Amino acid sequence: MPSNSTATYGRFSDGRSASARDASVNLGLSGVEIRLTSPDQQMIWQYDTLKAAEPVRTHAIDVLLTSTSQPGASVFVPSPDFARNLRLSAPHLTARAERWRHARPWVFGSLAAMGFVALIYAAGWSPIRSMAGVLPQSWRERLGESAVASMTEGHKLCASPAGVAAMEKLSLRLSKAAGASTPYKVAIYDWPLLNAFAVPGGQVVMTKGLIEKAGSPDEVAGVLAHEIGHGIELHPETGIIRAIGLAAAVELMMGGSGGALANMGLLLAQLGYTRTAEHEADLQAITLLKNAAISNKGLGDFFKRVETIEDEDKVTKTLKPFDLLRTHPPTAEREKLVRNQKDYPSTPALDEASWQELKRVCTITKDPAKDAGVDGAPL
Amino acid sequence: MHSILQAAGPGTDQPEPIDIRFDGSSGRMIGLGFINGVLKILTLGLYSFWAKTEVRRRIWAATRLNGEPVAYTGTGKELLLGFLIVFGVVVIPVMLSGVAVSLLFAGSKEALGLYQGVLYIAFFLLVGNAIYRAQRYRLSRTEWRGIRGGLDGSPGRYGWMYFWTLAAPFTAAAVLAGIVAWATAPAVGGAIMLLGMLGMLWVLPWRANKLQAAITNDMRFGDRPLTYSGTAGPLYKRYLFAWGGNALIFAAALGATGAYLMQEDRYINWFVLKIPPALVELAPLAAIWVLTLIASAVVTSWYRAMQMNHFAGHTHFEGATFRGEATGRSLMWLVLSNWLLSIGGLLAALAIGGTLIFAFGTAPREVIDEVAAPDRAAGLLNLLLIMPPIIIMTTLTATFAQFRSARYFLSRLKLDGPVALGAILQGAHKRPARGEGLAQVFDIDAF
Ligand SMILES: [Zn+2]
Repeated sequence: MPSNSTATYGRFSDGRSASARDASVNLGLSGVEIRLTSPDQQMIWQYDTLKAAEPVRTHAIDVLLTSTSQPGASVFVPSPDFARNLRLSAPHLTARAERWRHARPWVFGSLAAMGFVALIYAAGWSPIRSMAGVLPQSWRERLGESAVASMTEGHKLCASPAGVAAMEKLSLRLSKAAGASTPYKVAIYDWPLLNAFAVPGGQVVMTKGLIEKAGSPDEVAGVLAHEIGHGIELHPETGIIRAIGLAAAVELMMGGSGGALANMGLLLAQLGYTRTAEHEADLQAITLLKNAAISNKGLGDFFKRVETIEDEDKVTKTLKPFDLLRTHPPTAEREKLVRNQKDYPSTPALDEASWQELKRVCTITKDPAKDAGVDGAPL
Repeated sequence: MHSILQAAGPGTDQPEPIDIRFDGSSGRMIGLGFINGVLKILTLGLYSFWAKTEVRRRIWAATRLNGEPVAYTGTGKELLLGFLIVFGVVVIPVMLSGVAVSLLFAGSKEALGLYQGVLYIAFFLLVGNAIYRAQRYRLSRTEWRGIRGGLDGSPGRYGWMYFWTLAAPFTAAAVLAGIVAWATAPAVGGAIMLLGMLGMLWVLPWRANKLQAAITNDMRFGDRPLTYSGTAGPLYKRYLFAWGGNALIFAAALGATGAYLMQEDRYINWFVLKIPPALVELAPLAAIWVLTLIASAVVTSWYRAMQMNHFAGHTHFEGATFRGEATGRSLMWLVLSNWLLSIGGLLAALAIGGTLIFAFGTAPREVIDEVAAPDRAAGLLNLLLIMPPIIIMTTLTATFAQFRSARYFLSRLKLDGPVALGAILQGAHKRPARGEGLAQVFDIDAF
């Protein structure tokens, strides 16, 4: 235990008034010894009761000390030697000791939390997916309407009665194959982009671009089956809950205002699926098409078509749609998956007359706002 | 060693001059910023409350009154508790209500708009309150010779003043524009609204002076009050230049932005066809606005320096009066160099992170390929590679800039006139138990 016997000059304040008195300060065996003159007075502040105004650095030129044993009082010692020796007598005052003391519980806590999360995922349990499963149907539908409204903003709804009826027929055929209690609701938007996406609550959105580019009703059926596959796997619901959770975590870490969460539309527009999710949706689509006795060649053809468009897109750098083209398993791989399925007896997804009507579905359009439930008063 | 301290005897009530100095090397703050950044990463951000506390302790201790350091006695735990309480009382309810509004009024723009409008007004009502509470916490944790500072007033009163001094002129301008639009044409109303907004900026010096008076008159050191005697009048001459300069700068920036959007159908592509712009196309816009903010800060520096001196020069304590020695040029260099430091740090972090991703991350082809986005695991890996350099660099530059700003203001602050220190006793006011949660949520706790 180093102890310099020569007393050091210091300034002592009792904390009752803003005045200070001269003091001689000494590093004793068990604590800092402070001696005041006129009136004569001596105090010993035990080392483990000491606090420094700032962490005591190796090259500190002075030190301001307080002690929990004498609240309010403080002593200022303008001496580099004193500071250096104090680091040896009271090592808890050094910056390293202080930082580690404060950070340690959180470092271990963070490690434990990350290990826990890793364990959950390694065990194959997706807590977010389980939460998505217990959302009430009415909530899902509303979330879906919110998503549709914000994603298709500025585009009209395609509404030729015969075309809509044709799509309803196709949706009914696939929904029955999926064993859904109510048929999936498909809305087609007057939008040149080639795109289709599923939203919560058993709803699917398709674009005019997709219908126009499709070469046969089987291709449209393949795409619809894929989107219904997302719906069966609850991918849209899972995505939304994950996005909300992520936003909350970011707010917590960054100390944000929470305003970002108020705009659900923004959240919904950022959804994207993982490679695994796309694969799951593809597998569902293959089963659905088989159950509905629709050839899965259409889905394969569509992937082929997407691949060509992807190549074109890389050149022209225009029109980058989201879900369908942003699918993560390479399109060629997905095409192979479909092509490798065994043949089974099938009939065209739609008769020729309905298919022609579906292609003309956007000859009549209407404002989505007028379609009750998509935009407007609560249901 | 003896000579740097005032050799006053025990308990003298003799008035003595107070010498304010700032003794600290900002170079040392780089190491602190680096360590704080690393600890933030290791604790998933939770260490930031202790990081902030250590930076404050260093800044406070570098501030010397007659050679003796000022002490900051706040703790990271207090800041964390304050933050958690506000998180539970404000942030979580706001989040839940946002989700609820989206669910109940699915897709209704009017409902969302109304909700957000109400939210913004509520936030704005809370900002002044938060500023006051943060200031009160910091003063109550500020000690010199064991005597605490304090703020003895109502956060609600200050918060309301903060709100109405801006909301009232704004409402007046809007109502006037509305009446004109109704009586003549909407275009005339719009023009009046624009003029009203520009004119409304003229309340700012008056408002700043009023708020400064309110908060200064609530300040205490020990049992003694600080008083403020300033009026807004002298601020206006210098303000004319700041106002005119900023009007020109922002008009130029808006013009440049408009011209850029009109080129190559960018406006149509981005806003009508909704084709997301490429990063390269956004870079010129970012450059325009970064330059605009820098230019605006530069032009405003002369006014801000003058305002700082004005505030200091009308603040009194025990018969002594403060004096500010800021100059427009020096303040401009401070602002400019801090900006450059932050931008440079961020660019360096991006360069380091980019190199790490290139070396260890997902194959570049997959990252760049805009059609086939990388899957989530790969994205997570890239994020894990780029976030640490960014967190460390931003913590480092922010710490450094904060220390430099503190040195700037404190080394240019003087107190003229002697003060009888022995007569100043510990105040009886209550200390707030927890720290500035609200201000942390709004990110307005500059120090
Ligand atoms: Zn998909």
